[in-house]
Amino acid sequence: MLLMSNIKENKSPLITDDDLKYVVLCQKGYVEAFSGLVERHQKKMLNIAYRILGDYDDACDVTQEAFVAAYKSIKKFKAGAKFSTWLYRIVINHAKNRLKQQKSLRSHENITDEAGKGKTDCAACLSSTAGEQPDAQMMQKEREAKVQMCIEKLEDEYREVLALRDIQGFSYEEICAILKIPEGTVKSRLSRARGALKDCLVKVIGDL
Amino acid sequence: MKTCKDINDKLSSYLDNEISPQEKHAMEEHIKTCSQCAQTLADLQKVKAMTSKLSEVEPPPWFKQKIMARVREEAQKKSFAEKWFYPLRIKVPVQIFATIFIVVAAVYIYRVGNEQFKEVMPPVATVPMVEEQKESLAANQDMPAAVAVRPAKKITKTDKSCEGSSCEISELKVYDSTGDRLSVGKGKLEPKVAASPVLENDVDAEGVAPRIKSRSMQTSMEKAVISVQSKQENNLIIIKASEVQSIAAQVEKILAEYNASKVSKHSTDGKVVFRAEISKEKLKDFIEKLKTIGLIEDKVSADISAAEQVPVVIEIQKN
Repeated sequence: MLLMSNIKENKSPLITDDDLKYVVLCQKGYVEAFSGLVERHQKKMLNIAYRILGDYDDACDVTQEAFVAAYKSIKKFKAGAKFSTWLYRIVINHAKNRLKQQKSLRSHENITDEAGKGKTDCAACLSSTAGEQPDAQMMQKEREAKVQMCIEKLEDEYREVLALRDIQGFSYEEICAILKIPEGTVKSRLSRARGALKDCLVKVIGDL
Repeated sequence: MKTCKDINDKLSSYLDNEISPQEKHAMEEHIKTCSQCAQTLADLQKVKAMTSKLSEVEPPPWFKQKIMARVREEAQKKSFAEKWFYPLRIKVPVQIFATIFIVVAAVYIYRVGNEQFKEVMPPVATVPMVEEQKESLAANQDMPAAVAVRPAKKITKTDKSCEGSSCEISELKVYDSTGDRLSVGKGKLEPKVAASPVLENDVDAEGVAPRIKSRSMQTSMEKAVISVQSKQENNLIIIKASEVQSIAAQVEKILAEYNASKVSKHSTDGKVVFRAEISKEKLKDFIEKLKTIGLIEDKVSADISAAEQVPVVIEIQKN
């Protein structure tokens, strides 16, 4: 009820958050209400994690961890922000932490950074494009693999912005809210990310 | 006029239509005249199209169930932790009430326990009475033993837990032992006898018929009787001889020689018994003298009281 009163007092347009009813129930101790939030956001969370990490299994692990972490701190969530924004920030932070762990592990084991080595792309998990010819599908998958490879070569801060804007389609405003950075920073990072990706793809594919 | 670098920096925002109309117009004017910037814009548009067309991955089967299982597990952990670590608004009052309860219970137990303790205190309470009795007995050392021992008789009478026959036996023993010879050990007897007035007082206060209160009291009284008997025999001198009468005559002479006082003679069943009082200094010589006339068994106590005249019993038995 406190949360609802907060919502009424808050004049922000973000008050129209469909997740809030589930969030309020979770905050009151109804664990099963959280399944509604999982149902709504699992796919988007998994895809954000997958584009940042480039590995399907790691993305699944990180998504699970992010959901559990979100549940643990759901009482700290305040209705001033959009719940999905809060949730995506959690998954991005977990994905970035996983990347740091992987990098430090590689530096300890002196493993050369070979793109795609030992990673699970999970071709079966990718959504099939209905109506396309098998050859066209194959070409599309090859191109996607190359794009993904180039995305993984980007620095972390460029990768997350690119994933949120060009892959997930978030607005600049939402990206600012998720990453907690100003709009100017989003624009500059996105510009560099696209430029670096273009250069990589020109090298990998040739003529775009 | 903007340079190509300035235009390149803005191309990303131009693609997303995130620039002002004026900037947009200026950029479009530049791109029309600059083929390099136009090519870059075209490439960026293709890259954006490629990334936006990337297929989405689908969650694995039972993904939601797996997540919820972990969430439920976490919720159980949380509730367990909450059981042990209640918020302070609950924990503090509970701790305060618990402390108050413990303090009240401790005070109550102490008070009740103290009363019960007082009930089993008589031995401690008798100590000054014993001292008092000692003093009175010391003052009456020269009095006949029967008088000094009389309170012992009262012990048996006032003993509450004494059961019939055993009580009477104790009493008989005391009376037997309160003959003339009791004076022998009256000094040593004091502490044993001294306990009796306490019980006597108890009886006087309660007005209850005499009963032995406890077994321990009964045994202590019996010890007193035994002590009296042993003191009696301490100064007993037994002379064994074939001719009792002639030896008795010699003993009579020796007693006269050593200025014995209160001499009395009893003859029974061929046994002659002399009772007398001899000066403490002469006692040793007296016994040595007796040894010259026959076989002697003496039970003279080494620890003789401070009295000047020592009572002695000389028993002449037939060999």
